[in-house]
Amino acid sequence: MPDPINPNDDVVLFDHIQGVITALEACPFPIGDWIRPKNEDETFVDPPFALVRLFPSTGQFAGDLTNFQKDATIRIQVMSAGLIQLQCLEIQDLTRQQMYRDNIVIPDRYVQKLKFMVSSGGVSRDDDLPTPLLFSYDVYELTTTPLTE
Amino acid sequence: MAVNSLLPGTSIKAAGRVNLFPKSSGFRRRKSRGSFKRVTFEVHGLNTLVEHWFTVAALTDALTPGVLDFYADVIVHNARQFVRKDTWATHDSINKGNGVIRSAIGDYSVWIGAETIQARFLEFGTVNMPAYPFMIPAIDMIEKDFFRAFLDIAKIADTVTGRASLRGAVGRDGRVRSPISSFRSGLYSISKVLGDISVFGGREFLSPIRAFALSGARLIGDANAIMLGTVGMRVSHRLRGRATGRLQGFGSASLSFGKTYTGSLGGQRVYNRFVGRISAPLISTNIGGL
Repeated sequence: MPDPINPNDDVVLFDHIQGVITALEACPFPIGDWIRPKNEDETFVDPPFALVRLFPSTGQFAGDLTNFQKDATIRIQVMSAGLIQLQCLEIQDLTRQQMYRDNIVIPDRYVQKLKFMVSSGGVSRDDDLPTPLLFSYDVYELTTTPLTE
Repeated sequence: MAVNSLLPGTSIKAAGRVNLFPKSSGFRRRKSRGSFKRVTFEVHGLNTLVEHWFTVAALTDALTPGVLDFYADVIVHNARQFVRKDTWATHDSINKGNGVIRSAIGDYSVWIGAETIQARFLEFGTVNMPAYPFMIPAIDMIEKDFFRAFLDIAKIADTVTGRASLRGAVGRDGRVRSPISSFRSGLYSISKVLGDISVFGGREFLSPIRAFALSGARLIGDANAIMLGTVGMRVSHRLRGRATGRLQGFGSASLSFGKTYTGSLGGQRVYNRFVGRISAPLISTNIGGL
């Protein structure tokens, strides 16, 4: 997909995140991209929902991500939120069932490895919201390589 | 490096003990089917070999705490660079715990982490805030150097002790070199003769003894190659022997080609007899490099 700012560049990073979100859309709850998913009237949806973010890291990039000739290893964070702890864990289970290498399709790239890297040690509670919720998070490492030379 | 535990606290571990005799290796005892009830071998120079490995273990044991402590300091320094400094509380709370700890089973470990409540939310984010990780990137930065340090320790232990090269010293030590070499040559000649007999007789009544002799020779040959630092040459020889044995259809698949058939006139004569030649010299080709 072309970059909206620089249309001549091929944005690989967006394709990776979009591939993960597309794989997770098989789940029966809304998936958020970087921020919580919103309703049509621009209000945040109530739990349950999941949230996909790019996890910041260092030293994981073999070359520029806009370069198709290089491998890319990026870390992706999948957060799950529920109204109670059990619901949060169930959402986490459902997202884990979708986070497999075969489910992720990225245009022009081959998914080499999707590694479950680290998970939250328990569920965190956030009371400073109109609807209090509980959330947990998984971090995955995604390694892809270009399909064409 | 696998990040096993979560914030606050991520531990890195390294083994400080070398298992000299792991359970996975060694001979599998089997009943002898031939006429030999008991065979006694004497291996001289084994004490020097054991001293060598104890030196390796002692060197690793002595250097590991320092390496762990150094890299723990580096991780703390890097994490303090990366952490978000709103109140500096998390920055100030990043520490390496009680330092390097030796457990009861001999493992060394060091705890590194932050101790504030918000450290976990900074590291992994919340539904309202993206992550500002500092521990995982700090560990990522030292990962390559950390493993390279332990590789260097292994190299030091393998090559240098005092003023001499330990690898060469053990290999050149007469107490080790001559008994093992002669023992190995004897095993090879025994296995060669037994292989000939079994081919001639048409039945493999001596195959257990032959297999034992061959495996012993192979094992000692590998140990000798490691001590002399000629593992590549050894692999090449074993590849050659294997290929030749299969091509000719007799002998063991793991006979060393050069030692058996070109090392002596008798071996050459046996070989030429088997392939139907009388006195034509054999031209060997080097398979496997070197």
